[in-house]
Amino acid sequence: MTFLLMSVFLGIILFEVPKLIRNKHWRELIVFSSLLSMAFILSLLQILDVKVPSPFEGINFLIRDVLHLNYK
Amino acid sequence: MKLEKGEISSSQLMFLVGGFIQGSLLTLAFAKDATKHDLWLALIAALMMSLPLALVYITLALKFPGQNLFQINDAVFGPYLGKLVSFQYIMLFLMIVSSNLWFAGDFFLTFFFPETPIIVIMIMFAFICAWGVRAGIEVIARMSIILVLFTILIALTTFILLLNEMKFSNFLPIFDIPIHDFIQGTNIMMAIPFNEVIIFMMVIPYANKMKQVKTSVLYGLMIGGITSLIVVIRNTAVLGPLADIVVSPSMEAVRLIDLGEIIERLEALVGIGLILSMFLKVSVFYYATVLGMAQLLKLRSYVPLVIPVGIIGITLALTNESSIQFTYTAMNTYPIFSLSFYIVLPLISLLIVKIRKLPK
Amino acid sequence: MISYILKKLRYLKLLNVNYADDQKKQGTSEYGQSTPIKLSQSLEKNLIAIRNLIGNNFDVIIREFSFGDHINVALIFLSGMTDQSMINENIMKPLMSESHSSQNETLKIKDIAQIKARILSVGGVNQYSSYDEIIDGCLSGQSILLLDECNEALAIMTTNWKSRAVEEPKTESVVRGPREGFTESLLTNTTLIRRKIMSPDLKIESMKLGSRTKTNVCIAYIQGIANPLLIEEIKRRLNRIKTDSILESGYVEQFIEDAPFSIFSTVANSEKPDAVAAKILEGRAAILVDGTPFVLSVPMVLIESFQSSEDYYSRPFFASLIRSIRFLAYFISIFAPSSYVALTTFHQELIPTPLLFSMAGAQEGVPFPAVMEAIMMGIIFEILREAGVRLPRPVGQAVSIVGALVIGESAVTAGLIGAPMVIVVALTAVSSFVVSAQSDSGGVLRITFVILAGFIGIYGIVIGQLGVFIHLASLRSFGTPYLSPLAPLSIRDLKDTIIRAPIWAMFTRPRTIGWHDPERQEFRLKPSSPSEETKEQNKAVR
Repeated sequence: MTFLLMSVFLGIILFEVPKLIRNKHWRELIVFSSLLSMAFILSLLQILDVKVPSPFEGINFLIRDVLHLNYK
Repeated sequence: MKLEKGEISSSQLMFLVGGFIQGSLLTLAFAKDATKHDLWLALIAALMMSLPLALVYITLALKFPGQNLFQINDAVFGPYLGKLVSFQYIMLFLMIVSSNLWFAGDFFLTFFFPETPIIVIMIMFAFICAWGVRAGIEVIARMSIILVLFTILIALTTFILLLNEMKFSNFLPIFDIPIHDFIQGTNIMMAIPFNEVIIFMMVIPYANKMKQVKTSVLYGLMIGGITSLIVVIRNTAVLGPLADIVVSPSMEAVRLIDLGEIIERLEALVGIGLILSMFLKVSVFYYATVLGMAQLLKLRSYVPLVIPVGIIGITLALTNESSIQFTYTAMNTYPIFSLSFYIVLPLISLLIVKIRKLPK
Repeated sequence: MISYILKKLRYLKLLNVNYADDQKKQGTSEYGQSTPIKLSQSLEKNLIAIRNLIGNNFDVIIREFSFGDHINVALIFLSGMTDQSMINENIMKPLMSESHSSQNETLKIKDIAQIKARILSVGGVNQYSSYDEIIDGCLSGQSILLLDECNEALAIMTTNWKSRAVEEPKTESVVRGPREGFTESLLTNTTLIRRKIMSPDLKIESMKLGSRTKTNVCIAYIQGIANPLLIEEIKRRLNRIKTDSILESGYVEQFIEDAPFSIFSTVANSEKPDAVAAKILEGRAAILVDGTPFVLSVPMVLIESFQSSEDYYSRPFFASLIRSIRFLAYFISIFAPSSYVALTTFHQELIPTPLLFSMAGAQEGVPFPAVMEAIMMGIIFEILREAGVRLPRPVGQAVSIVGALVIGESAVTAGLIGAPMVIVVALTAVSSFVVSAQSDSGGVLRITFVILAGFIGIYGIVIGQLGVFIHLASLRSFGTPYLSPLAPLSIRDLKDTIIRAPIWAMFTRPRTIGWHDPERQEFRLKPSSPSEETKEQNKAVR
């Protein structure tokens, strides 16, 4: 499964990066790389069955436990 | 340099808004737990209350012509606070994208493909939305007309085919739920389909006739609202008290269609309608997220950002473990959370605009 | 890896060299390396140069004669491409006999302009002074007249070659309507269009493309209806083509089209003059290429592949019905195999129960899953179709018998393929020929949908169809969105899509194409009985 993930990400890099380099959009390239690495780490954690904290739980925590504003 | 070079005509805007609201046709089911058979009343109340809110958004958008939500935030709140507010909006939109992806995946998993891993369904859906967003908002707007017509056709067809199963006594007694529940139901209805019209503050700057924007958006809201009303009435009338118990009332209602033993088992139609309308909704949110990010970081084009944001959305969606947790969040805590973004912040912006008399 | 990428980037920079321009700078002609550009005064030198270039061919005739008092002339022509009688009667006879009639005047007729003005009784005569133009003229059928002590030559239009007669086009036949089709000769094609539109606004401009084939390409449009920017854009794209050979309009199409990687073509082609004339009258431009009967027309919208010229000659209700059936057939031909695969593999509950029993019984002994069956049948069908086009006529019967009997009957009896699958594929095959303009894109779409359906059922089909839709919505053909009038919604033009509104109701040209001159005809042209007409006239008077 990790191999599949790596090949998918490699495919994405080969798909997007040549056009960016050719047009010399360095800023976009930096942003793209950082976002892609974030996505890579997250999906790797998912594949390895590591529990990633979910933002929906975050909302729950904020509204229910801190502010006690929830309906039920 | 303008990030988006497309232009949308006013009829396309109207259908885009309409299709966008229809994208929440199946999430309407979240409110049924609170309001039981008075869901249609909650829907009408939410529609009534969101029309003025939509006017607030449109007024804000028209005061700053050609500038989308994030640029307006910059102008209203100042450069630093404005960027913070925009960042929060982007996070919200990303969360909505991933929750919609999760919802679509879960729906298909439950009813159609029980043995497929959910990630496959989500990846395919995200892939098609990413393709649409890369093509630009103009392409999505062009497609909206046909998708909306299709969804309305499916809604009307199922409605007509179920006419002989409907018992209008299922609507009685009217309004016997406690007011607390009714407010919760209305809040959920506002949070999920209707207030998300704020996303169109990102799209309105690219319309080519500014004078007709107000009518287009309001008509679009009405189209979406009426379609949702048809669906809700159909479900409640056909299923009665069963509607509160089942996971997805639309599917259960459509399952009862049986015309001469030939036209039966049409649940796939509901599935198709769901894909078509959710595509519009997820695409518009996705587009707003990516455009906002590109705007915030002052990039020249948002196209390279599309794929990484999509993958992040999918992984965030996969962090959900169960749909019960998700439903609980959507029913109880998310409406309050969304209030601050959909009602409080825009009203504050409007007040600041009026006080400081922007734009100078 | 990195060096490979760098090498590729460097290679891309080198591709922008234009070798023809380099040669012009060197001052030599395009043809021979040592041929000077301009003609020289002496006939001998000219003849030697021309013999170097084209003298070795057996059909090039170089006839030297003299007229008057030993003024040497040479006539060069290609024997297969020229009209011999015109050469004999109108060029050689006047020249030779002129010298015999009045001895005094021939002393003055030495100027080549005088010959052109007074002796040659031919319609088109041009005066050239460079080798390139002379050779071009000679190779396209003109006769070249070279005079001694004169550095200019005359190119005389004596073009006449054998070409196919005007007959019914094989790819588009109609029940009602003209049966003329374009031929391979450019002049015949332009004549056919001019006969349909006898208006002085019809402009036909020509250019030559292809450095070796020197094919004549014409752009035909109506000034005042066609968008001038469109014509400019077409000319710009045609001038951009710098290639060796243009053999067919398909070459031109592939050079100028908007989306080379899309399966949908953005340039329409047709073999019938009335269809092309109708398109020109709506504001489009036609591109005619010498040597092929297929004429291109730009811009193209998707609806055009569903419209046939016969629709407009029949009455509206029947035409609307036929057009709706065309749409239905197109959808069947694309979605039928994939729907069958999706239903039998994933969604068996959608099939009505009695049908389900019989289908299950037929699928019982079949070894392959439905996806593989569908793909196999699709490929076999494409093979049969291609074989049917390429094979020589006498063998045709054998192929159809083989196709029907072997594949249909025996495969089912042997248990290789289920009977419902054969029915589905046969239905697909027949429907795919209804909209023949889209048969190439239809084949690709069909197989894609089958694979998607085999992968994930009806979800796959809907996602695939959304993808196709996104692609169509983002396609533009020379500036016109591909899905007009559906996508940028123009209700006025929906009269001509699924239904075909009566002729008297189509007052305007399509909004995105013919907006320069929107009105086609007057209102109130609906025919009515005489009593009603007087009523209307009275109403108008009042």
